[in-house]
Amino acid sequence: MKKLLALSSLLAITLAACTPASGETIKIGYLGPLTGDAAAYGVDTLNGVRMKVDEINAAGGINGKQIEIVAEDGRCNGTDSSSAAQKLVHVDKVVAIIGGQCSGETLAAAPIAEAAGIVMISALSSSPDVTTAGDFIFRDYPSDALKTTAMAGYFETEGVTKIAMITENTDFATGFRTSLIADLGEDMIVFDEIVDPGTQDFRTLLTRLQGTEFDYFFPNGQTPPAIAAMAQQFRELGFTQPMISHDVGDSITLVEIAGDAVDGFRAISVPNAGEGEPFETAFTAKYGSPQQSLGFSAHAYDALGVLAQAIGAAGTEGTAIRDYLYALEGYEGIVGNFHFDDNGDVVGVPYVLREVQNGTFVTVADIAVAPR
Amino acid sequence: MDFFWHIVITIAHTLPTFLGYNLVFGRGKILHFGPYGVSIAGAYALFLTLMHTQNYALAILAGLAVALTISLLFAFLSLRLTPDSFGVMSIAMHLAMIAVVLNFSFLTRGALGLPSIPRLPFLEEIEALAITAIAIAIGFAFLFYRLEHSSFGRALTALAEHEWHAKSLGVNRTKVTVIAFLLLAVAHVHGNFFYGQHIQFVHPNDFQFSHFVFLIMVIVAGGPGSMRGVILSAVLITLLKEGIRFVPLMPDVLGPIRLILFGLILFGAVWWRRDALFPKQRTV
Repeated sequence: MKKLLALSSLLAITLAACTPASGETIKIGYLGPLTGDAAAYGVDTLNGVRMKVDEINAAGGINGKQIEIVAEDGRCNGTDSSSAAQKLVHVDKVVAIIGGQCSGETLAAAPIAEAAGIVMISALSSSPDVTTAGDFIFRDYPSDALKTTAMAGYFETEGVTKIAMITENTDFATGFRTSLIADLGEDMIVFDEIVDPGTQDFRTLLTRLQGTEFDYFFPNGQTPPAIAAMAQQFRELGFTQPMISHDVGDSITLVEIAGDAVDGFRAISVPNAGEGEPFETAFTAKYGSPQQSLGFSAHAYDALGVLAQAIGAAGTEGTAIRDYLYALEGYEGIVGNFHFDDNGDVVGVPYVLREVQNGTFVTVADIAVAPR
Repeated sequence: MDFFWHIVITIAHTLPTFLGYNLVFGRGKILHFGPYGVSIAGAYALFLTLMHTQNYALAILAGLAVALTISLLFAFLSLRLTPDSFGVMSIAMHLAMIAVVLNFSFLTRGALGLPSIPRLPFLEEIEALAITAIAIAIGFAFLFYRLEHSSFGRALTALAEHEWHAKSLGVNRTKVTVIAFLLLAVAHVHGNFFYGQHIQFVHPNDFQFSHFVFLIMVIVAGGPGSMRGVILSAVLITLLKEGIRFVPLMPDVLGPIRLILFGLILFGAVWWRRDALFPKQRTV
């Protein structure tokens, strides 16, 4: 017990030494998973935010004030995200937050931001629940509800009538499955299995799939390694049907792990924004290759960009920033020209069909998203 | 100031669970590794009822009913199985509960969690929530103190030290075990209710084994069976966990440091408390 007391005393001294200093800076919070299973999302989005901040600061800041980023680890869960948001809002006194990145982080932090009147812009949360999370909650990443509509439209265009799907039991993947079933109808999903998060061996399920007639296989995983394992084992068992997935599958990690097994693999995704553009060159020169996707960094980069524009025009008061964002007619970012609807959801980010060709993802078509 | 209240709520809403688990695992030496199995079942019963009926009393009753029923099942198993078998079984039960919540998505929303949990009107302000949580935590602490110093507490200790002799002196093992499990269930329901009121979002990941490891860490560091030690340990380790966010390092560096630090604390606590964790039975 004495050791515990000594440790806590040491911590108290450290805390006293670390009281945030006030200065002529604009503090913006970042909330995302920087440790744990989803850390790759956090690293990519934080680097996107840092890059934009460095550019703005180098150009003189916002109305002469430099931006200071206060980053907190939400660990992709509600408990840590809540603590992180409380600290950002009430201790660091940030004027706005870029985050959370996982939908669970955003949904746990949203009530805190709402109560404090602090704008939050998520760069990655795609759960349909975020739409109704609050007036101060925005995102520049489209809702899964739109993405499954895009996928359903693609199946219709291709004349696909039978889908085999394996879903990892996580918030993103099951949310996607629910939305897709709502769009397609249960009859089109001829094989629908859910596996525990982190499962790597799908051979038993795929052996069962051998007795089923289907047109497309949809590995619906939370991470590229999970999708890669499904795809690799799918091919190992001799299946020849095409595969399609969502934006998580749209990752160079998938190709690195699964190799030839994913040749021709398709993904309906937001454009891997910035790819082949000066943004990619600048990003990789500064931070190296993204851990998950350059597109995620681009969304974070743009989230900070649109927020900085709002602060520059409306000031640092939360309500003024919120009203500016709702009234915004368009922001020309790396991910496209976008604005926000009445729920804070992004409008204007397109969908594209991507395909693995010669060991890399290339965009092969634009996908229209029409309400069904 | 709100961050201070947030820490206060975090400590206050978890304290009864720590004390309840201290009673079962710390004092009773029952190898119960599935407390969060009870917790997740009670939490989902509570919040699903609340979100469908908007009736707080009914929701708490539903949460209590489910948590108490599953605790009775745990108590039954602990009475029928050897301690180590029960330990393994309780882990299996915990996993089963999480699997039910994740897979019965038509009822529980599965991995999507339960967002926008309504908050009682008089708990809207964080200060009110904190003060209420403290008052109830003090009530629980008083209850557990009285119980530990009652014939029940002595019976639980006697059973932990030497079951056969305790029984020969008339200690009713079934009654004592069932009461200990039911008290822990009530503490879980309290903790869940205040967690939901505070965070307004409940997710299956909040009941995973990492949270159980934190619970074990608090009990072992405070001294299994020592109520005062567990309270102090809960306060200090929670302060350490949240306070480490203030260390001026980038969070992508701090995160791994925090995990390593907590691993070391648990290692040290188990090392120093190894005799208290698994005591030799008294011999005659």
